[in-house]
Amino acid sequence: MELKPVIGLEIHCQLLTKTKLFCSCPTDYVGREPNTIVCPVCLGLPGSLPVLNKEALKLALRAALALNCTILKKTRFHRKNYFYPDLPKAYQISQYDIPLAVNGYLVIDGKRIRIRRVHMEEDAGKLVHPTKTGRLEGAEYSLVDFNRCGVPLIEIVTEPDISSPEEARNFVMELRSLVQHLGVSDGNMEEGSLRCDANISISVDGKFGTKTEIKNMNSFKAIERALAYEINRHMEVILSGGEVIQETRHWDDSKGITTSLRGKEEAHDYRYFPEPDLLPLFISDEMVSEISKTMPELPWDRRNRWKMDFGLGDYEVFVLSSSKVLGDFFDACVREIGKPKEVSNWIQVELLRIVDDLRLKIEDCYFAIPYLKEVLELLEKGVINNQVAKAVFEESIRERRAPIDIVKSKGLEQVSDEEALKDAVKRVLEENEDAVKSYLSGKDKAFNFLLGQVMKVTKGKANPAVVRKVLEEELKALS
Amino acid sequence: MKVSRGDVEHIMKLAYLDLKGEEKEKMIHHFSRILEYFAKLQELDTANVEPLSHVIEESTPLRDDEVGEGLSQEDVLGMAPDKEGGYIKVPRIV
Ligand SMILES: [Zn+2]
Repeated sequence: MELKPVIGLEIHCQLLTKTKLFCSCPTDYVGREPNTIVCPVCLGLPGSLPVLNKEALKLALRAALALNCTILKKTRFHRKNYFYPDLPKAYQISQYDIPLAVNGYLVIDGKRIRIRRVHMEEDAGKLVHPTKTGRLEGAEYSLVDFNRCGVPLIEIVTEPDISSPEEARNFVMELRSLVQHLGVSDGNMEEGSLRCDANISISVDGKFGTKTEIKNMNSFKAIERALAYEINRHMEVILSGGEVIQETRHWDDSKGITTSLRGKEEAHDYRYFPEPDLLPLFISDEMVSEISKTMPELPWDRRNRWKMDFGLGDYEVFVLSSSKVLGDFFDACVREIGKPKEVSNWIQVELLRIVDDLRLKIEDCYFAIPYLKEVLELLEKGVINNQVAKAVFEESIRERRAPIDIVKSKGLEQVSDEEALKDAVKRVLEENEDAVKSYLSGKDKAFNFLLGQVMKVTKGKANPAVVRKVLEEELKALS
Repeated sequence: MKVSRGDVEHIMKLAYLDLKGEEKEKMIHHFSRILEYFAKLQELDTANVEPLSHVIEESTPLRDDEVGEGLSQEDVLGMAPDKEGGYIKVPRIV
């Protein structure tokens, strides 16, 4: 019996417009007082009429084109009806039978993941549950904030072409990078501007199994863990002769399990019908070609450019393109400094760690570009060694101080003078008789210990290549 | 076309309505009438007719992405039956 996971994703991205999808309320709801950016349209008050935001349409089209979709010339909106307190109209304006775009794909590690459709819809409000966990269970009542109501979204639905949790994660990472590069969405999973649900089933000897839908995966890691958990759960049910129940399940990140939402959600019966308050939407060829012409550089083009022009490797370009801000920062560094390979290495190994330690954001690190330039120059001229360079770079960012100042005031210049290092080497050999003996008796490991001791005695400033040479000579003299 | 009691109860649930036994019977009758009317329409041959969802064959108007005036929090909360700290307060959901 051959069991294979079959995964499809549904991803919602909030569009980077100034105003909502059908009204002129602002979209920047994060940190706002509740219920302060709403109007009769997004509250669904009687007599109000929705009018489509042109910019939202353009951004949605840009995403659809970048996903290689066919844009439908005539599309329309539907009402999706359901009762929930975060939905004041009791319906969401969405698209149903004729979405904006269909039949696209996104390439992940050389494999085409087909996109079934891309459509526009409006976001719902936010609920606050006054319980310890913030979850709905056990809440005596709930509080509603309609500020997010009507914020424009695109929903991107894949075909069930994804075959592992890792591939699903990579897909979402690439899609996030894409929408960021397009300026379509900021793609922030933690803040919910990019949300991902998954449909999953197990095919048995090529025959499709029953699907479950997983919600509440709020990070790349959560996507991978939730899908791995759910695949296992399905497999266990199947292998023990049971049957998977078609249902929606909630990923609990702290417990690391999915739980059934059965009973909490009425069977999906949304009674869709065409939105009578909006006319159909005709997409002209002019609009499509205008958007195609003004397409920004896409992540895969960027990666190719870095590979071709800079000679970077697959892994390097993958890391650098994982978010647009990081890629922009790298490009800015190379414009300023040149040396793309070294710059890439320093960003990935040193800067990302420093940024993490100091809780900085990459986009706030442009001040560090001249510092990196200086550090690389000092290193190249042999003024400082590699170890010192790393420490100086970190300190320059932490203290916002030029690397050369740090090097001078702390006397960190590299010592390459053989005579000067000879004293230090001799002292170390005298103080570490055991290590010397063990080296002379053939234990090569002792050499590195002695080298380390010399670096320590010289406070890390010695030129390691010169130390190595002197140490070899002195040890030879002893043997 | 006969609508069953189960159909009506399902619709009631979706619409958050609570109907008494007698009202349900009435709804069964009303719903059946509506469906009979549509059944009549379906007798027409529409094989060569384009489906029409809107009477006006024009593209929906678009607006520029410019922020406009909305309602004040006071106005919004004033329309709600209950409130708490700037939020609208609603009864237990599940
Ligand atoms: Zn509004």
